[in-house]
Amino acid sequence: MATQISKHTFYLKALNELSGELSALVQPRKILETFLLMSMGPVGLRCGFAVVFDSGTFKGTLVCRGIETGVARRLESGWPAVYTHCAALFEGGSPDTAARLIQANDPRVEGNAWPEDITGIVVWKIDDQFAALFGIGTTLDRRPLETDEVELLLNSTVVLSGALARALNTQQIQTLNADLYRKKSELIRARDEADNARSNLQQTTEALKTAYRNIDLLEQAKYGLKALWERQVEQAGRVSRFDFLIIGLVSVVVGILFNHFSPNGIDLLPERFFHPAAPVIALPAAQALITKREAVIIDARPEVFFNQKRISGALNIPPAMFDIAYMIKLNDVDPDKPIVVYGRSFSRHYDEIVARRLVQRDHQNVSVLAGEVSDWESEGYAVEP
Amino acid sequence: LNRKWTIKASHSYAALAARFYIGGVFIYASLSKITYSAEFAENIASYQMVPEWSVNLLAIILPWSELVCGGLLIIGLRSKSAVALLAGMLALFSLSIAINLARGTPIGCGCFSSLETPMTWTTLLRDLIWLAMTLYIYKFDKRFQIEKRFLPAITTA
Repeated sequence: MATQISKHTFYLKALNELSGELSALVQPRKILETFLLMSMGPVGLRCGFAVVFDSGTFKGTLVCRGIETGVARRLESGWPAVYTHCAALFEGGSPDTAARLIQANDPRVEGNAWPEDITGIVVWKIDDQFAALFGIGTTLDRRPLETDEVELLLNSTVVLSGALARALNTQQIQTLNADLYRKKSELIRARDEADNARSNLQQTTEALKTAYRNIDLLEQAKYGLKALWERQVEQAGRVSRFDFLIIGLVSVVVGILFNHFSPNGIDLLPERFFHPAAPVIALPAAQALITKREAVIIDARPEVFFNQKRISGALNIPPAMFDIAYMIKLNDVDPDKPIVVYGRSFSRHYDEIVARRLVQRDHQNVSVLAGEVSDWESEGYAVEP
Repeated sequence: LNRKWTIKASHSYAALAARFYIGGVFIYASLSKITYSAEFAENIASYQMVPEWSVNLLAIILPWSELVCGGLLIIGLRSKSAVALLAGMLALFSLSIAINLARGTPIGCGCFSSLETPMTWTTLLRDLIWLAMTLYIYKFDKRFQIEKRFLPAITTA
């Protein structure tokens, strides 16, 4: 009796240890390996195998222990057939969640494929999707298993079932999590793509708006030019102030430029504007000098005016003929001798121009008459012809 | 109606001939003035019609105005405005000549070159005829106007 109690205690302890070991594992293969290791020892099994699989697709994990290599290889491909035979023994052709042992010596399995060295197979469903097989090999001493040993092994499958259910659920949760993470990543990527697309759409919209604005400006410019052109056509046969302005501007600009670069160019304004005026001599003083023949009197006007009327004794030296006339008429005159120059009009101060040129020829005593021929004549002084 | 049309056409052709003539006269007249601006300035001064400060400026700008207007008349571009400007110039020239003839100033008119014989009443008559021609051109000129020939075509194109 004591031996019996001790044996049961040992089995309970083994179950407890198995439960503790399996609770720490999450990989189905590791769970199966640990299960075989820990469940075979207490009953002294020589070999065994365990499979957990999807009962719909027959995809699963097989772990063998103590089985010869050739047998194990055959088992790798043959366990679905084993399961099918075993399942056929259940009501409705499907095993239950409660583990059930099918013995090798069961007459119903004779004639079917049965793994070598396996004396019994425990079959059960973990849940609606997954099922498991536990192949029980021969004992080390080739004795048949006792009832309490079979009970221990069946209880072990309950522990295994719980561990596998947890592992499979964890695996499923991990798969779902991974799937969720992947979908989340895809969602984030899709959102980023949508953001990019929206940003691109905004940029495109802005570009389109700018393009429309430019088109509007171009349209306005086009209509403006067309209106200008039509106005020009309409005004073709009319007088326009704009035409006067253009002709005037062209004449001024081209005239000034041509004059600037021409060797025959002239000053834009009279040269006397930029030089000090010559000293002025009053009519009586000039008359006194001329009478005493102490001064030379020069008529600076053009010859036609000189020929019309002049002060008696005046020499005609107009600015336009200055160099030649000077050579002929004044070359021998003493530079210190007083010279009186006259002749100016509203449009030209000939006297000032000639007086300046005489000073440039080193004449020291050059003055301009304070009056014209008409004033001279009015004073009663001599004129000719 | 035909007679009226014939008269109108005759006027337009006569105006065209006058346009070429006046345009040619002014282009020719401007050339020596542009080349010898100092002599032309003396001519302007001898008229005693404009203030001293403006004599040289006029001598530089006026010949170019004559050249531009003459050229526009010949090619038929803005001929209405060009002939109006030339009519204005001729009116001023005629007035200046008349005043100086009345003064008895024996100056050359300076119309083409500085080496001219003194102007006479014939000079004034000639300018008045040119003035009348410009007015005639202004009224009847319709033919060979470059704008009327090309601008509408460009617009419709």
